Amino acid sequence: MRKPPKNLLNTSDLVAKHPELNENLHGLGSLYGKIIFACRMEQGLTQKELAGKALIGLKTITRAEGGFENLGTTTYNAIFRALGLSTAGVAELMYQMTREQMDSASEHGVLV
Amino acid sequence: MKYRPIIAIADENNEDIVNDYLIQLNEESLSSLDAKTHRLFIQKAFDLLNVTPLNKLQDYTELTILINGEERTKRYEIIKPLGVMPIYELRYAMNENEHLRFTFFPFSYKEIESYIFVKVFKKTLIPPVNETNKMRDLTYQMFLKVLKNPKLYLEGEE
Repeated sequence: MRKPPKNLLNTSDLVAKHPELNENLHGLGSLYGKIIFACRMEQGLTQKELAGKALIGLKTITRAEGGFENLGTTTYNAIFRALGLSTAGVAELMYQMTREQMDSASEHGVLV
Repeated sequence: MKYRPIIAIADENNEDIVNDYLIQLNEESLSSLDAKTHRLFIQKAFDLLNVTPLNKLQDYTELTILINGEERTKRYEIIKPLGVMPIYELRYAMNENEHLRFTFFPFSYKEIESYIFVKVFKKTLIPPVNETNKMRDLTYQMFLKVLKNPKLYLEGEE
């Protein structure tokens, strides 16, 4: 009997071993980080170029993409603005990511 | 922004090579900071692959993780095509000598494009070990099997 496919985005085993990673891997910061990375890549920007556009430090961009939780709303707003994203746009992307993640997991018969 | 699921399937011997490797790395991460770092970078690469088109990751790209409150960034070409379409490798250097490679292919099923991972292996400089072509060809064989019977391989049933 064939072994079923596995969802490589499922980090439950890793988080079970390192509970402190839960926020980092599943929190809001992680979701924002994914959006920032995807939009930056779409626009062909390096982290340094995005930092320049957002008028913030390079370290702040690396933290944002890394899923660092302690960044303020003002910082995120500056990054999103530099990427041409409105608050509504970010909310739409978050909704879309969550929705598509659930849909595709059920289509493939693999658990998230 | 498009979401692409990242899935691992069992290989030609019905062995969960990729998933088993990640579980082993999770286990090692309990006692090794290096293993935890590797595991987080690999997970980050999966996370970013699922929201970024393949062609955008074939150039130098920064990957950042947070580990024990500090961020670490690597800048390299995460994805490389392996010459036999549609097989690619996801790349990660564990150190100067050991280079981890995951082989995979994009696949559309029920109107959803996913990345299907099949193999993981280590390339080393000393001793010189490079199984890339062998793994690429085995992954291509799995691609053909999935193409022939996607329901079996992607849903685990006929």
